[in-house]
Amino acid sequence: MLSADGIEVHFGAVRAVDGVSLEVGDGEIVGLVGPNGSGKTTFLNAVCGVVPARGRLEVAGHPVRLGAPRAAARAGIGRVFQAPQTFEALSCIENVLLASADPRARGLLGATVLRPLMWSREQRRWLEAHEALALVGLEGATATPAHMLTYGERRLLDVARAIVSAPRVLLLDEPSAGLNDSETAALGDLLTRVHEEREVPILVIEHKIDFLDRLCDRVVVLDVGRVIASGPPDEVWRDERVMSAYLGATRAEG
Amino acid sequence: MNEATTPVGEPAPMGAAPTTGLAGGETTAPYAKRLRPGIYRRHHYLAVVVFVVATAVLAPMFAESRSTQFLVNLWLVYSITGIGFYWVFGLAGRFAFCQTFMMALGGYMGAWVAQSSLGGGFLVQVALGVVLSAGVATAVGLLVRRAQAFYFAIATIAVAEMGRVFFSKAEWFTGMNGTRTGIPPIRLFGRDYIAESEVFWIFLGGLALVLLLAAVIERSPLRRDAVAARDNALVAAVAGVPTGRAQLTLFVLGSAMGGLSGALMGPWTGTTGDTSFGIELAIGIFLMLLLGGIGSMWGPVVGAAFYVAVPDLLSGFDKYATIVYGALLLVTIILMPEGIVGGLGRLRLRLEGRWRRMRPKGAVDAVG
Repeated sequence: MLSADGIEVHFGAVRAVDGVSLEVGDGEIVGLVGPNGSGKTTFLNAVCGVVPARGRLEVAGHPVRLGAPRAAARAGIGRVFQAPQTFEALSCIENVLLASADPRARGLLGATVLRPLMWSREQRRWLEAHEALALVGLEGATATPAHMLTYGERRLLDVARAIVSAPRVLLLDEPSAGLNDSETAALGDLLTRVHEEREVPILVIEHKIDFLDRLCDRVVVLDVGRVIASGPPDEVWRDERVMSAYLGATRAEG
Repeated sequence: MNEATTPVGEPAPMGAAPTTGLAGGETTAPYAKRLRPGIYRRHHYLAVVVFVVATAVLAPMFAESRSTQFLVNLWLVYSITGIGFYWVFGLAGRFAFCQTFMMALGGYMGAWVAQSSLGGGFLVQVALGVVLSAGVATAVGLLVRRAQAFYFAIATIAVAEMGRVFFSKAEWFTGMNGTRTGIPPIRLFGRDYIAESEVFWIFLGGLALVLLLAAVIERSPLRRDAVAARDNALVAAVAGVPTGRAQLTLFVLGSAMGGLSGALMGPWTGTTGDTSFGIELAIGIFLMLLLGGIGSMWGPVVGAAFYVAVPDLLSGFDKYATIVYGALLLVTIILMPEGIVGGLGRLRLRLEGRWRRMRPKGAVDAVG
């Protein structure tokens, strides 16, 4: 579904992502792991157009322009950031509505001349947004201003916003960060539910091994901006290069 | 959306919404209505009607002297430019410093049309003033669309300064020494509106239309797109929000309201000059928005009333008036950091006890 080929991101002379190629197939949940600074988040940023990047990116066989967040969103890439990114001035349902895939009657014409069209589109968007909120368990908070949510609820709201437009692939950046064990388990259930009900493949950055083992079909390991291993979780954990990268022992140079 | 997306066993309201309803607009409506975001539940149009009727009844009753009537008219016309600035700065978060320039542009254009061989009625003058300021705002907005926050402010200051130089040089457009005098009074449908009490009705009508437009924008996806672009443009873009377009739209629309108020002022006072749109008013417009409340379309209306009325009310303090005014500003801002309208809104929430009840209930404890 998602196919990245030779993605490169440079910050000055630093190659944060150095030719990463990976695929996320239909129905897959792929974990993206690696030590701090290995380029995981930067890779996700490149894929969703937040940082300028080189390489080739395809979603469902269609090429996606790099460095253009809206193009990535239109292509069906949904992104959940590591720190919750909620719009506090808006209510929960409005937060989700922002990401509605339906672009019609959204601007000034929709607000004025095409108002009947806008109204009918809006009502459908409300239903979609409510479904997304219900899927993450926030249906009771539809009208709640987003600034009244807890940290965990904000993360759920971000997930709802990312899935409302029926994305073709979902990118999650350490969704379990800041959650305790039981919360992490609940999050794992939620992601499985999203994955199955929305039939959306997921690429997830994580550090918690249990979480990855339970959730992922496949794990890709990055180190210093490169893919050093890829495969089923239990195989990858036994890989020498992965162990040395994590334990910081003799770093494998090529 | 298909049936699989509806969680099994979910209680109403989702369980009550039949999936077939998604196919046809009519069957969707009753369910969708319950889900509509809070902004659509507010009575914007009713508030506009109540405000306009109340002003139409009360203002002529209390404003008996000519000078008070003048202040009322000034309030109305400043409210128009203030609402425009609310769209630019409040909703779209664009730190624009060219609202007074847009007023001058609209004012000169209206006056130029009125005094040229074109003639044209009052409505034509105003319309052309609005169109010119909207056109210039479009050009400026496109040119500096990537500039953020203070860079945008600097760019708009530069535009306003260039405009000031242009206004002082282009006497064919702006009149002798940049001041057009002898602008014919408002004439509409074969009737002249010269006295302050007559002009009042034209300005109130203009403000009513602008308030309706404001209500229409409040109740539209454009508003939330602009708010998202204002608060976090990057995340909004990742979510697919057309951030640049939303901000440009509101910048142009708000500037056009500046042009409108400028074009209204010329035929009212008979003159249009650069001095009426100086730095004092530029700061004044900020003040109106901040004092009144940046979070509501009513903020600039209340703020303009404060800006116009309070210095006049304080004139009894004589030479201490400025100090008292300054102190009053400080007290207002300290007591009501969200502006007068924002402060009243918070007070109302507290009185109704809704603050607590807005906390989500039920199945949100799964995570967090």
